[in-house]
Amino acid sequence: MLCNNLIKFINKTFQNVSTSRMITSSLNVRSISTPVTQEYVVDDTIALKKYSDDIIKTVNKAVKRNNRLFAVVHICGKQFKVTDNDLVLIDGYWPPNVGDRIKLQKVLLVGGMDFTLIGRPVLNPDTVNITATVVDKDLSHTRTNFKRIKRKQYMRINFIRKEITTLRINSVNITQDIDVKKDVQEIGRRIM
Amino acid sequence: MVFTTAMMLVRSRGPDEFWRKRKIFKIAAHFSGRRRNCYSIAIKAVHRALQFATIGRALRKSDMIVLWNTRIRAGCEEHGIELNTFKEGLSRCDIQLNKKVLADLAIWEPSTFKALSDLSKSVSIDYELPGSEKYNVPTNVVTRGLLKK
Repeated sequence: MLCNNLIKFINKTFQNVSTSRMITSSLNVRSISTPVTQEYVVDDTIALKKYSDDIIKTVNKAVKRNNRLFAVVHICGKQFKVTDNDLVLIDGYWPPNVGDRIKLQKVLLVGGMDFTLIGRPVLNPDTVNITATVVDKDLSHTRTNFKRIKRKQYMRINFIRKEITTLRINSVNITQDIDVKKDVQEIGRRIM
Repeated sequence: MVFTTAMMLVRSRGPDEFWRKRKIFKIAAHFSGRRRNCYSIAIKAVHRALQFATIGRALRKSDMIVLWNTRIRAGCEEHGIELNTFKEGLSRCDIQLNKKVLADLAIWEPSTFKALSDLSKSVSIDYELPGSEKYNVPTNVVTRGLLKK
């Protein structure tokens, strides 16, 4: 590009040069410009789609074969790896009350014997169904917070008891095929 | 108890000596030697112990982070990827599993962890992260450049 501009500039400045000189300069332009290359693009969209469909089919088969799955769920700011009939201990203030049946929607990962679904960052809440029951709500043991500074007559003692919620995981299921997409989709809820 | 002046209120000290000491002896019950029987020695030991317990609660959190990192690094080395590249690769494609869960997966779900490390490897190759030149392209990961933003 720069060379072309230079040559144009030279051509303009030496307008009165003999024709033979002009021809050589114009020849130079041709030699400098990059040769045109062509490449054949093979249209393999059908083959690729078949390939991805096959993979999705094998995953769906693997999902159906499994009966016990594990999942990584995000509850109250912490992540837990859970399976059926697990007890999860949640530390600190968490609104649900005893006896509430809840559906855990922030599922980061689901896996079985021979497959793993990884969410980016969470999986579709329609695909994975994790239900849990709040079993118990209690206060933790007393933690003593004791501070003292030597030779400075400073001593403070506080006693802390935090809320503790026990959660029973009832089921970890995959309810539909993994590539199913609705006509109208909700995306706002999936963003964490 | 009747306090005739404010001065007397200041001078009268809390509960009875027996109860005041029993509180400390209860905490010192499992200490050894004279630290459980002599009050003047027991109270020093109790103060030290309570301070350690308070500081230890904060220390445990940082200790756990070091432990999780060790476990994840061991898992990564098994599949030939560095810890930093592994984490970077996961975060580049928006996988927000934390250290605790990754360490759990490295121990209890080795096949899942292998899948994650293969994915992270191919993402780091896509992004040309430093150190990714030496990795072999995993054949079982199909990205078609879609993981790159």
